[in-house]
Amino acid sequence: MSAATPLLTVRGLVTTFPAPGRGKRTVHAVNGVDFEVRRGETLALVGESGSGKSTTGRSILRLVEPAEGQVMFDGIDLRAMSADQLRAFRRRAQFVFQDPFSALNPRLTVRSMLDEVLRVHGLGGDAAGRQRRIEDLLERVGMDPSVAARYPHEFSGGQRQRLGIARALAVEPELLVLDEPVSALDVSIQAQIVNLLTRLQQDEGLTYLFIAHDLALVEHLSDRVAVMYLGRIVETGPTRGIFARPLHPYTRALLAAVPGRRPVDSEGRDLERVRAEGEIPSPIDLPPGCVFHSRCPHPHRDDACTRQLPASTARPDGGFFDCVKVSSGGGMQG
Amino acid sequence: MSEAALTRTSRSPLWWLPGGALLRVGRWHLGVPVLTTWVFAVLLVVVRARRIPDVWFAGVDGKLAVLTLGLTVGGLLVWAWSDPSGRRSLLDRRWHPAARSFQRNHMAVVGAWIVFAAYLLAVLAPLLAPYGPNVQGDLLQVRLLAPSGSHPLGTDHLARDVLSRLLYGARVSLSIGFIAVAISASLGTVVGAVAGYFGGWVDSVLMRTVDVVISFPRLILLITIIAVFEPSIFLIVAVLGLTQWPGTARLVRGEVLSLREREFIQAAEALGFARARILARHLIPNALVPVIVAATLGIGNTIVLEAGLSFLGLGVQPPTPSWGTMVADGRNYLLTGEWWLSTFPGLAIVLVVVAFNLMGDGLRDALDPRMRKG
Repeated sequence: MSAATPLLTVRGLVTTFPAPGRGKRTVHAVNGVDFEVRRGETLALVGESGSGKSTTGRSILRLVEPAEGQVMFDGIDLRAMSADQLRAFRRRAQFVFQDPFSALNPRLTVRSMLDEVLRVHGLGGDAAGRQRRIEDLLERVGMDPSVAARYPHEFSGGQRQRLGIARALAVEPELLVLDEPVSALDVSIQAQIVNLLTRLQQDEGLTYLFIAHDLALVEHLSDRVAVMYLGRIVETGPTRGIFARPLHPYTRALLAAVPGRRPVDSEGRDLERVRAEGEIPSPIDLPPGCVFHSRCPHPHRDDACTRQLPASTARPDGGFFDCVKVSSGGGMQG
Repeated sequence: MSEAALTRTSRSPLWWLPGGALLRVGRWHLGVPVLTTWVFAVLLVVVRARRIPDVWFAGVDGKLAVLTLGLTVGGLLVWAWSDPSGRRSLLDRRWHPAARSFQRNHMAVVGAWIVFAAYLLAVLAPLLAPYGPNVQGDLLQVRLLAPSGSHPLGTDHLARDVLSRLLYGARVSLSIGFIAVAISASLGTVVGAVAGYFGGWVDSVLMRTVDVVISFPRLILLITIIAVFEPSIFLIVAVLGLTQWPGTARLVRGEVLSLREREFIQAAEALGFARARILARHLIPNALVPVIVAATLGIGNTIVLEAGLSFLGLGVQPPTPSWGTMVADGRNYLLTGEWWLSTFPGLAIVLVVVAFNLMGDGLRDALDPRMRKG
């Protein structure tokens, strides 16, 4: 496998849940998502609550079963994996959860928790070997090995998040799916965890799929960004390009909502703040057309937006966006 | 308790003495009872050495009592062994706030001590009882004697010592309650956890079974089964144990349904743990608090139920003493003035059941963080 091949390729991923209540309606939490993550890079999935970014992350690790689409991890189709292959995959891709208070089993000490992971996966050899490995893991996440005898309730949120990261690292994975890993923490602690994640990536060549809604953090941490809205990726590209020249109206609205950020148009001229009014619509019984049409602040939106899904247009920096009203140069169409 | 303190004193001159380490660090309220209990036990064994074989060879009730003791001690050992850090202090640190809260509830502490004392007396009955449970005195001379120095609680209509029968009866009554509830709590926990975790048709089948079992009138079922088969202690334990589990199953299922959504369960799935492991190590241990409370209250109920069955003649068969049969035997003499026959076993039932209820209420308050004060 050459280094140029993406570690993870997602094509047409659809994940549905049965809608609550009577009837056979379904919630399309993820509705046809394509992206790839290259080795050693960080791809950020951003979007509002309810945009399906967490479900995308969970579908990739098969914590929820996707309904359609293809997920290729290092050339292996995840949805067609045998039990043995799935087990091997569990050692190569891990998940870091958002809520550090519910992510650790309260009945297990740190040592029992990590030891169980090592034993189940046959790592670290005998008891002494596993003990060394546990100490090493704790040191890698910046914790003193003496905490191994403690229970989760004896730790602060930031420390627990470090332990959650240590648990994910115990199997020496290549890919980490970080589901809003710092959004439940105090701002001062956030920086520590972000620095830890950055350092781990540099030292160990980890690949991150970073799910977040904090755009300042995304700008700091990620190489590329994919903006999700209502189960679809509406724009993707290199972080610098997306932040400098957002093309899709939703990306612009999202960036304009960041406090202290000067909104600019695609030519870099100052703009009035673009705002997406209202709430994200229900992902049950999606209407046809562009997913964003009900809230789009674009001045020229019309019937073309509601008739069919817009095709992807390439961005000059290698990304793409889904809007029929914007040209890749940034100007307006139609 | 402070680990440093324990490690330091474990090499002090008092280390070999039970509770010595505790006394050394000034924890008198714990160390003194431990030491007293230990001295008392040694004295008992020395003074009553000839009776020790009876503990093991005292028939069915003796074996039940030994089983009870074995289950308790074995359970503790397994628990302490399962987690290396659990060895250091018997009480796992996660329970400390709960233990403090329990200790503040004085009624619950009294209840716990009564329960503990009752089980201790029951297990040690062969060493403590002045006579054998079925030893008859001279029927003409010692029949229906009022409480006195040689028979502290009097004698019954067959010239047997009431105190001795009360102590031996405790073994039957208390172990039936304990074992029946152990069966129902284990069965209920497994059924409830499997139903809650797997969901779908497994859940439907199991929970409809629960509905069916729960809708049987329990007492009538018990009477029918015992009437059809020969009444024996094993039958009673089995029937009591196998009819009480649905309540626990519902409790555990509810707990598991909410735990299943917690992120540490998803983490275990992402790590590729087998479902049996997730159930046994991650779900069930976290769903046990309501089970412990329900089981404590359930033992009290089961003791009452067993006494009721024995009173009706459907429980433990004579001459094996049980509190229920003793109350039944004595009821004919209540009106003729021999009040001690029914009164003492009746009081024993009330005392133990009240103690179990106090302890259960205390446990519920202590283990539920929302009920915890301070």
